[in-house]
Amino acid sequence: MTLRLYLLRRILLVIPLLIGLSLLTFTVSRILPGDPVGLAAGPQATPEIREALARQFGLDQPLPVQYLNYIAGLFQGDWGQSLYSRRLVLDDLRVFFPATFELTIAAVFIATVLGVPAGFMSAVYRDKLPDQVVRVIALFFVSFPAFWLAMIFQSILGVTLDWFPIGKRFDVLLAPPATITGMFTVDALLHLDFQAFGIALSHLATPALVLSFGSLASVTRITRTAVLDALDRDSVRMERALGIPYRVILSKYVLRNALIAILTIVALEFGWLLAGAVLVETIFDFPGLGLYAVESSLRLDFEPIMGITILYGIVFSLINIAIDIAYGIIDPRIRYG
Amino acid sequence: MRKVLHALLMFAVFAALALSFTPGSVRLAWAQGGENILLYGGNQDIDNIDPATGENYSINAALLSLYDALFIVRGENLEPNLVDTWEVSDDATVFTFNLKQNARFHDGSPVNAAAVVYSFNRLMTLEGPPTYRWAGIAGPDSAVALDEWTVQFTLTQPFAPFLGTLTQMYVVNPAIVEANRGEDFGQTYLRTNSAGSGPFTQGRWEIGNLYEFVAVPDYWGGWPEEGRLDGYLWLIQRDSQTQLNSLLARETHVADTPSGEDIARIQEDAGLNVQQNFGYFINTLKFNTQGEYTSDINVRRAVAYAMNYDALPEVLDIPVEVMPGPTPLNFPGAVSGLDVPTFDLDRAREYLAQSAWPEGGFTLDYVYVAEFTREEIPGLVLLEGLAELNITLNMVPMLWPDMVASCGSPETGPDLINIYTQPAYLDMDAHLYNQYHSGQWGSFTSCSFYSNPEVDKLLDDARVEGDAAARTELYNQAQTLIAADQPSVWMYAESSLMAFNNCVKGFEYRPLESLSLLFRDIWMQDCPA
Repeated sequence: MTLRLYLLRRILLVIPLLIGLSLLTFTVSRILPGDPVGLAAGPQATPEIREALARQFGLDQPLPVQYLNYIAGLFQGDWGQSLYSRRLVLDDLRVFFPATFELTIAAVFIATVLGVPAGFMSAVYRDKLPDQVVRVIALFFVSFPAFWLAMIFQSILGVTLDWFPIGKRFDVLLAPPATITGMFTVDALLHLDFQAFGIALSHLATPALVLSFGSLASVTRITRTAVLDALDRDSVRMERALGIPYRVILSKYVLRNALIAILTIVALEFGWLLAGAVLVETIFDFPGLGLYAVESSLRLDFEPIMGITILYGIVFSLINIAIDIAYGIIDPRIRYG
Repeated sequence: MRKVLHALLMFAVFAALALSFTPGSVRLAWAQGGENILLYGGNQDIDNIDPATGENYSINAALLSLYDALFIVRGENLEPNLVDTWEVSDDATVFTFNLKQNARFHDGSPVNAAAVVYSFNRLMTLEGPPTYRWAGIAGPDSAVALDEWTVQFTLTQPFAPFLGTLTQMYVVNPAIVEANRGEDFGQTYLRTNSAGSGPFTQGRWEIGNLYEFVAVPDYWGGWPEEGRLDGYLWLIQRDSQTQLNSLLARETHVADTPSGEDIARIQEDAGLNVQQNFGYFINTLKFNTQGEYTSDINVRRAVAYAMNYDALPEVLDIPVEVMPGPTPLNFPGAVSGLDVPTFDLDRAREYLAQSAWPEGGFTLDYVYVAEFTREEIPGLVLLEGLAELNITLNMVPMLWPDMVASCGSPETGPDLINIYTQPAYLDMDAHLYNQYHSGQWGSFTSCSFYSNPEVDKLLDDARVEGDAAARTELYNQAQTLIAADQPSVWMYAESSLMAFNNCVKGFEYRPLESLSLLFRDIWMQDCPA
């Protein structure tokens, strides 16, 4: 099967996946006890006001009809409306998703840039001092809760040292770069506005660093294991026997063999961070999807919950497809089928 | 592979360079913002600024800036705003208002009677959350323009507290709403766009992040003599630690909900101050008066006497003032000296002895918002007291939507539920009617499912009574009866905390809308850069 056919098949398979996901989320969100309409209508709403609200949102109809209406709307680009704020879900996702996406990319970038070399070094110097140091540091980061680290870093870097802003995505008194992707650092670069890039980056730095810590530990440990595994191969022993310089063996053969495992953990971490950024977003007032998801869930705000789930479904599917393609590039022996 | 690593390395170096240059520029921009741009750290988003459908403290603060209403609350007083003079018919049914003739919308058109009629009609047609104030007493046709500057409301039944409700009747510019009417009476448009006459207009409007308000220099209602803001930024800061850090780092001028634990830290800073006031935001434990055990007045009284009220200020993380009855004493018309329980286990045992369960031996559910320690801790205090009476208190944490749902009927209502209430307008009606009138069952404020025909009649009569002294007397009687029936354990009024940089002037505490700052009265003096 050619790559193009494979891609087409994978993308088509996403559709039933999303339908299943939406059905599951819909069912779960509707069978949960609670009175989101009463909540949205306000504490002192009369039954008439509550009924009017339910009617307006179609919540007075049977559940299957509600679901079909929702899916029909979805295909027409109507992702629904928040019961609480009454804003359109698609508009909200457009604003909040790029923020979280940018934060996650930055965090994964930091975790990879620091974690892969650390894990590599740890494996090469197995059981020697560098290995022990890296393992202790990894253990340290993986065992501290992100929100606690966030508060500590905010207090130290933001208040005591005054190096970085306390929060937000951009200097509040300045307008952020005009939206192209919604990711401020990328948009600033696309506009060739380096000052804006610097401001956006300074706001991104602390939350991304804090968010990366948990993943940093995982990436380091998985890299270490993968490299150790590659080092133990007969081929490496053979290459050493042939007198190939150790440096070349490491960079050309060992790292390449370890790369599949590293890529997998990085992709997994990307997914985890994307979904788990909420605590960091809260502390740093980073208006992203995590916060939106939590607020919507607490209010049982049906359509935002559905929208977020479907968007995450799409993003996860695309990441998986991208990773599958990357496997083929790293290891040409892999065939699509 | 090596190329990829090189590219990564280059990016890292570039990023590090960019980072090392930026902090200075960020501070500089802050200082350039001008002395009169107030940076406000607000705990809550401003989800929706449509006066017909949005309602909470942050939305109200925004509406107070963008719009004008017929009346406004300053301090503890109701003051006319768009209204110049008014008349009320003896039976409290017909209200006639003469409007100020100099009021102008932001586009320069007059705020006239037609605009008031249009706005009220829109409110009542859309039946959004703010409309409950007029449910059953007015409809879309209740307001009529008698001439360009006179508007008359004819209610479907007498309602003496009507004036107080008009602080939430913001007047929209009909021309703008009609131009953006769409299929939903302009709701989509007005959700994020304003059409008002208030002292501020909208600037940057970044959903979930920040909202900019720009002062109207020649605002028709005038500005304080001492000065005014050029504008303000409402920065959403959900975490109280972040609010504190921003205030300390001089990145904001106001923090609207600092935690009680932060007060000392803020007071240590000579440039900051904390305004701590007790308002009408009160915490009560509501008994299900139709419940198996709690329908017995003696059980209710026993439980109320087993609550260690004096412990509350010590164990809660925010300053509180224990309530002396159904109404906070600083609320206009509150009756003092009512016979309400204090912590007295002997009296508790006496009441229990008169109930059908003189030895106790039963379990009561105590429902509170999950993870909300301020509601959980009073339950633990009560649990200790009730243990002495051989009554078990079962702590039941719930999500807020589930709590609201449980108050739907007496069958699902919990034995005891911890609930915060706040009156919506400056009248005893707002405080008592929705909590203690049997016609209000189904909403969470009436989760005690209290029914006393005598109280119902007093509350109904007070709505009809035009004479102020006679109304006060009716409410006095109602409060006395309610206190005797003990449908709730009246717990405490929570202090409203706001932290300010000392350069922020003009703050006056408004107990009714305690968290909605009246930005039109605020100015700044010598703010540090």
